[in-house]
Amino acid sequence: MYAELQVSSNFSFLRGASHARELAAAAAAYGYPAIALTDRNTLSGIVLAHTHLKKNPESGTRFIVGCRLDLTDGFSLLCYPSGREAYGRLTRLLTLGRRRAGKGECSLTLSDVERHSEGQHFIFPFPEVLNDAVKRQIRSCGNLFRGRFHLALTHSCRGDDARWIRTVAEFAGSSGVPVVATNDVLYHSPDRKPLQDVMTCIRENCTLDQAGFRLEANAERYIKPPEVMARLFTDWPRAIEATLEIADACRFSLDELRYEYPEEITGPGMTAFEDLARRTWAGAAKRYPQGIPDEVRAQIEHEFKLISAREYAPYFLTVHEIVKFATSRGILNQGRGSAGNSLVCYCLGITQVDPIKHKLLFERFISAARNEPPDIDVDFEHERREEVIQHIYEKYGRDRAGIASTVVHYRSRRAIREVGKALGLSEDIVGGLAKSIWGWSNKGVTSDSVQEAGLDPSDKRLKMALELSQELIGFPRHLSQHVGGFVIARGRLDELVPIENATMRDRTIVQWDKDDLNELGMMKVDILALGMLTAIRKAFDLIQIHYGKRYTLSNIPQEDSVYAMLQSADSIGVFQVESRAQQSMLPRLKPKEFYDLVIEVAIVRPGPIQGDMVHPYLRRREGKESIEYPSEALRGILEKTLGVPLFQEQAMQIAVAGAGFTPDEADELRRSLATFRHVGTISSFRDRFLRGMLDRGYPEKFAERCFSQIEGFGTYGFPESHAISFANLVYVSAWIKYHYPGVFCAALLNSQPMGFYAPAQLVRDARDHGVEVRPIDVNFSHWDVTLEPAATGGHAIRLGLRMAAGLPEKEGKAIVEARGAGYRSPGEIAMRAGCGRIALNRLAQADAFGSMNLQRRQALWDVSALDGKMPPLFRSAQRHLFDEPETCLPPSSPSQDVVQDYQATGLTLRSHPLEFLRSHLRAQGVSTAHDTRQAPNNKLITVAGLVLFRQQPLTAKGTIFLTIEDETGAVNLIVWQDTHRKYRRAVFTGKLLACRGVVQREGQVLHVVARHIWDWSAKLKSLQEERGRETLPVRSRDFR
Amino acid sequence: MQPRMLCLYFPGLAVDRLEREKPERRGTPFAVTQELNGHPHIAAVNLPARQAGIRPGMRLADARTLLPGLDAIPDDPEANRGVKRRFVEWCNRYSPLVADDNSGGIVINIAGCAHLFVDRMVERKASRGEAALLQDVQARIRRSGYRVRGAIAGTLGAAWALARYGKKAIVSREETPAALDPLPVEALRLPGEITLELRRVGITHIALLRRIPRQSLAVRYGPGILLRLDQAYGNAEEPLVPYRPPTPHRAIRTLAEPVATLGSVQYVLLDLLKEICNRLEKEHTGARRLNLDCYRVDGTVSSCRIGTSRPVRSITHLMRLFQEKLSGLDAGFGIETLVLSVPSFDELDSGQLNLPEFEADREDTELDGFVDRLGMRLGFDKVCRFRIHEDFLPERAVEFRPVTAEERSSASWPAYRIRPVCFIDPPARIEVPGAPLSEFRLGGERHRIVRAEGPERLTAGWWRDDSPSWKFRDYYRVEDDRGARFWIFRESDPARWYLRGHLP
Repeated sequence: MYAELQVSSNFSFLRGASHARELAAAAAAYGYPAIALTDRNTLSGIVLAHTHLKKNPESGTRFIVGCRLDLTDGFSLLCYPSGREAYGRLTRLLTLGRRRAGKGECSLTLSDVERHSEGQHFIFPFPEVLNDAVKRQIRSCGNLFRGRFHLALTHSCRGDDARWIRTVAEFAGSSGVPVVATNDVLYHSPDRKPLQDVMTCIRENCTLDQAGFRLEANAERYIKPPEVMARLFTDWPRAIEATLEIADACRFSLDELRYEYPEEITGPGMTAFEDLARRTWAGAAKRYPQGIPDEVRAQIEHEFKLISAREYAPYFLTVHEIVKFATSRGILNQGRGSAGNSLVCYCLGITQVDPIKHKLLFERFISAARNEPPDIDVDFEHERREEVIQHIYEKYGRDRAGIASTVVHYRSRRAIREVGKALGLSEDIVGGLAKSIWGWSNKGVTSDSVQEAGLDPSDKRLKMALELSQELIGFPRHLSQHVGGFVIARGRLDELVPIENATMRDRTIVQWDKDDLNELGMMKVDILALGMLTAIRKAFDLIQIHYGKRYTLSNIPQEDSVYAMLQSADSIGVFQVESRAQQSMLPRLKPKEFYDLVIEVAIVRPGPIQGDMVHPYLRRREGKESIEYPSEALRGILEKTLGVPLFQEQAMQIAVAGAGFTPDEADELRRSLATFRHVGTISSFRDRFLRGMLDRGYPEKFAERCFSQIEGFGTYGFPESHAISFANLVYVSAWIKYHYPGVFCAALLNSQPMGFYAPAQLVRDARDHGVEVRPIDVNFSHWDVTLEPAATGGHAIRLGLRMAAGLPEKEGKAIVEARGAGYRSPGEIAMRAGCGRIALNRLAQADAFGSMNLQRRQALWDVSALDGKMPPLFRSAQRHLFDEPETCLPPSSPSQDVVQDYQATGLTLRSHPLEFLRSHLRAQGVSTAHDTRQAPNNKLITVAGLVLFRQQPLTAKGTIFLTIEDETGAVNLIVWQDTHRKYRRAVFTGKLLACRGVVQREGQVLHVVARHIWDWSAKLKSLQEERGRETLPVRSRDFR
Repeated sequence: MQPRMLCLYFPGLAVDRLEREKPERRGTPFAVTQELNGHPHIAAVNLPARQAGIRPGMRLADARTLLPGLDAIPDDPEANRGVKRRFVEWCNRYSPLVADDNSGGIVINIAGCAHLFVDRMVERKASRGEAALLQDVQARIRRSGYRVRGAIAGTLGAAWALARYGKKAIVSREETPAALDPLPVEALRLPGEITLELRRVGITHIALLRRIPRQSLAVRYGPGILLRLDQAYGNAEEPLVPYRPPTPHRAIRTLAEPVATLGSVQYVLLDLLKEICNRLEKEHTGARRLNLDCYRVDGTVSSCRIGTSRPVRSITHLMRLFQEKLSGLDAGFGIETLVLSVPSFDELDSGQLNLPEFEADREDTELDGFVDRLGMRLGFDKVCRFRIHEDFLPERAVEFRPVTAEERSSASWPAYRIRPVCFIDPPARIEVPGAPLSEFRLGGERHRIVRAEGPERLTAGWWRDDSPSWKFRDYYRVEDDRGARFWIFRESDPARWYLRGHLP
């Protein structure tokens, strides 16, 4: 028998060419008693290998935790912890080396290893040369780690193996170092040799033809059958035996890791559970001021049972503490995701959705079957999330809190790029191939897209590139920081898992990702950022200041008029439902009550769109189609969404009720679709699903549709509770927009960048709603956008200094601070606010000196004579400079003003640029957006406007959606694929487009289906009048 | 004499150069790209690319969206400078005062030269002078495939501005203000930030700028703006620093008494070599070819030429090479002048001359000397050495290459990879009966194997177009009972045995 102790998985980046689970599976298939993983300075892959073997116990193959330590002393050691304590030392050693070095690096010396060596077994990799230096290294390690140090012998088929192994073994014998056989595995099967060669080239940044001896001479470094290993080492039976001895000595298993929740949050004299109960009941009393209903009481008791059985109470307390901290600082927060299913979370104030009201299943959050910790995700204001993160680091310390890593995998585009480069394909070809892939696809390059890129798919190298890149997709590339997943432990976190530096300063990440942490039952809380929360909090603050009313996320009244506004698609700026797709859905779906918003949020998602669920739902809602259920079992699941599955839960429940999956399997299915961890398992799930449904008498077509829906959900679907949480924000933001359009606009502008629309559209929308918007002015503006009493009563918006592009916040705020009774000249600002010439120049460009009667040019001219850098003493001397002769600058034209407004602030309060072109456009027979909205269905018209958005959704098969805007409003264009091909250039780069097309109405929704498109961007130049480099800086936002 | 400046501006130098290099490029769209913030951007385009909507300033990725087949060629500033330098040298035909203006053009002071030029197309009086000169220079440059715009004015600044932005090509001193006033402020050779600021306050043209009090301008934009204005309008001097081509490496000795003996020629030659080698060292170059021309008293020239396999500036080395050739020199009635010139040289890192105590260096130069002597006798292409290629296929791993072509190979050869000196090519089929390697048959002859080592398992370049059908080959070193050693191998699928060579 033989155990393999030297194995590199693909977590030894660009070296190992197999996934950890493939290696584990190969070892299990050969009946290995044990296999170790020894990736370079990392333990990232061990959870994958461990879980694979644990889930497939038939072979009896045991997993040995190991690591290859590349030392700065110029050699490497393989290290295997024998028990839990030794493991903790290994993770601390790796943490030490990682924290000391830059991102992705590790810096360790032999003496570091020595200090952490208790309980570790070491193997010295088989040397290729045996000079004095190598001999010295082996001898000194032999002395340091006597009794638990072996020298590896590896048969690599280099020609003189028998002789060379003897030489090394004899040296080992003479030095008193025992030997052990390894195969220094790089891949599970020799078929991966080509991929390994390519990875070597990517690592060395060369092509295969240049790589030379950097490649391996042969494909021998795979997992070999034990009998082959025995034959290779016939002369050295001790080396084979030693593998088993070491395997036997290193019995540490990841199952021994006991993750423990932090304890300090529990109130004194209480168990964690008692404390949780106390807090929950207190919270419930607040949530239900009329008295806690029996139903609620029963549900809380029910949840308590599971929580106490699983000992999850400290977790709830930890999250509650974080939320409490944020709330105490006035940072708006709201739980999202499946935590919304928990009444305890609702009572604690972690979530804002009453699960009783919405009949949400607690089991979706914590299931009795799944032995996995719950997952609570909380959104915080995006501008203030960092406060929360730093609070956690501060409270628990860096050795106890860390952020989960995200393994960044090869995706199609990068894979084809790097493989193509290694194969020596020209930059052009590789670029063309990569270009043919949309977005973040994992599907690789198809031969269709190869042809589309104008290449020959039968070309040998090209074919190889496609195949190999397909293999490379899903390989880890590097570790990155998870968006906000914190792990917090009671004891030292670095004794559970190595911690390393992230790219961002002051951030440390653990070497395991979310799924690894889940597998090992480690708690994590997602601290996420949400721009809308920032905007809502700022809106609440403004309402309190100017209207004297205090609102929170949970005391906004439900009102029909707010729904009426949404039904008319008046939703610019409203959370989630402001996009064009949502805007065209609103009038069709006609939300009348809160739950309709939940559906609205869930339905306009790639999952339901790809699964073709949108139209059936709408038809049923409008009563155009009868609601049918394929079976009674499914009726229960699908009733609330009219028989069309829209939420993740429903898809999972179909798998359970319809196809006979266990809840666990259904969950695994969902996750296998969402991540790379189970690449290749999807098709087996599919077979089982279809078979299960057929067996239960569902038609095959239906079964297949269900599965494709589930596929869509896995990646993009929302769980219902999440949709409810988001719908809450939809309603709150819509309510603010309806009642306080000025406040709403100001809050959104103060939270930029966020959302779908640029400031120009937000301001325009506010003005359309009768809000007066006042320009930036050094004498009136604050840093933020503020409200001012309007002449008509009510409030007007005053644009803030923050809107002046390039003005530093510090100087902007200093101007406001030192303003006093007001400034009379730019020089005075320089003097009193200590403002530099550059900052004043930016303000002048933003035309912010209106109250001094200085137009933009004159202001710029005056400012450019100042020297802000001059020390205060000399400033009085500087004054006489202003006695310079009067300078007469040429006046600017209205259109130039507009262009420069856009340049300096991204918007204008003057005319829309198209107004200047209108007479010319009218002569060309171009209708306005307003006319277009009045036009009858199927009428052929021409419209022109600035491009606001370009969208090419993955789901739309090459169709492009454009939104253009003129002085009377926006028009949505649909460009089908063939039209788009014809006018590719205009569609992709035009700033001002004209479009001739057919008006298409569906209810209140209007599109123009483009037939011809012209790029009229050149006409914008005429607004400038004089020849120059500057043109209107209209920037469309492009989405894919 | 008042200067008259001719400014030539090349609006599409890089594109024109690339089209000249490969005329077939003319028909297909291509773009010259420059890296900007880590992304390739379009710097210039040819006509088909322009017609397809590609514009300078675009990101290459965006341009490719428009035109997927767009050929992108990274800019080569060195090559562009080379073209410009050649034009500068060539312009010496018009005037000795030529300079690169370091902004895409050339300036020539043609004062006093113009009357020499006659437009041969139209032999009229009017076409004599500056117009003819301008016509001539533009026509000739255009014929060589480069676009050019020229203008002549009384100042460098005015000529520069007119060549780029002006309508009128020839402007007299008196006409200068009228010609410059309507031009955009960019025509004043100001930094980009300043022209941008001027435009922002509405000062778009030079005329507007001249209306602003000078003091106000100086306060805001510094004195540079006034200098540029004055230079253009002829109110400030702007000297032109003409280009001087590098002097060729030549050393000359004219002797008081003609010499005829080999010894005395050698004596003079050594002196010449010293002078040349000193100069080479200063320039960090080494000679690749040297000519010695001996001018004889009878008015004829007797020459000898030497070449080297790599740049050399070692006097002893070069002297030895000359000695090989000097015997063929015919001194006739005597030589009165010796000229040593270096028609070809290459860069050579600085190192000290004549330090024989550095053993390794000397060995190297001795070998070089030997190679050069062989090369001069046999031809450099006939002197070859082995070169290692890092290739696992043994027959591809070494190559016999002329020394001159030899770039020092960094490839290393692991000691355990033992190879025969000579390959049997193609390898001879052998029969190996039985699994343990006990014997093989070669053409009926039986070899009993007494010793064997291996296998050395090698795969071939699976990615190559000519990659073999077999997966791997196992090479063995074997020794038969007569003491002969062989290098044999077994090919996988189908398994076949071959003899590849004899080992010592």
